[in-house]
Amino acid sequence: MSGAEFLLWMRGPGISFAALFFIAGVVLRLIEILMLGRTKNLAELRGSGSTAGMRTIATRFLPADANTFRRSTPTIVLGYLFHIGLFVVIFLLTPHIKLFQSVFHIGWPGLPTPVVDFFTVVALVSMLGLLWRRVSNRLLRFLSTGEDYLSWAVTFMPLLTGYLSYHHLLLPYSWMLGIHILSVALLLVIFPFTKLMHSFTLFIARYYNGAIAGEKGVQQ
Amino acid sequence: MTQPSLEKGVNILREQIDGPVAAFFSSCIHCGMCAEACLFYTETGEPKYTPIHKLEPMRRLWEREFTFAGRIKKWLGLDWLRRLATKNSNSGSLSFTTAAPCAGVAAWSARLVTTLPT
Repeated sequence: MSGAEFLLWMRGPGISFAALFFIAGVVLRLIEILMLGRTKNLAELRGSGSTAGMRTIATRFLPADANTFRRSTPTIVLGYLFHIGLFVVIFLLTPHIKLFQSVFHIGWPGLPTPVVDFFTVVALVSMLGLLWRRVSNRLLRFLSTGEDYLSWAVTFMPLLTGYLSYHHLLLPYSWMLGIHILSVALLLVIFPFTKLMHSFTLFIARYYNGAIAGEKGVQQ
Repeated sequence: MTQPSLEKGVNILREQIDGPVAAFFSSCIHCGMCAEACLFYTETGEPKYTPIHKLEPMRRLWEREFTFAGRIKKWLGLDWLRRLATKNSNSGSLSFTTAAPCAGVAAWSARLVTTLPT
């Protein structure tokens, strides 16, 4: 198989199968959660749950309060850097936007590629930092399971191979780009059944978290 | 007082599982921030007092009974709910405070761990 053939297969059937699997898996997981509903709250309502729930979805994007920040500084700083980098790379790189446009027929302006390149490095370095913490910190090592390392690896690989293919490093471009798409396919297939699902479930979790507090009249 | 039993403990946990619980477990990325906010961990430095770790029996119950992937695992004989008891029977699961908002849930998981047969 030549590099071009490999790339062609990955961009066609390869990534399509992975994407379909991803969508089916994510929908299944979301239905599983939403179908459970909430256990009946017998206490008198002291505020609107839905208002507080919606507010919590928004406010939890912002950095935590000073105490939490002081307690968990490395996790919060590296976590933000990684997620901002990942967001920019996925959604603001022009070739990626072109891909979204071809599938969903909506586009948006991208950032200059050198800027995205910088954010790729930010994401890669902060991921290495987070991995270092996971293996060196006693608490995190204790909590970590194989799934945590697997999720890390399948997220790291698309970033790394994307970076390598853009800079034409290590392998011929068509091979590296093919491997890049393969690594994304792997990410998509694993996604619904690991903690990577938090990208979707965080909205449900935040809503419920805010709603439960709001119904109790907790000031947030 | 009636004797504690595995079945009773599992039932108590099962009754607690609803949408919010499923959403919280699905969103946990093992960042460890709950431990850094928990006085049992901050006072002792013992990872076994991490709140999410104390809830592991409940998480496994949720996974094997309320998720598709978990049911497949159970069907294949790959679920480890019972096995956890051996690993955990000596852990910090009994340490919780009723002053903490999570106590209602954490307490039940603690009771379950102590009643699981090894």
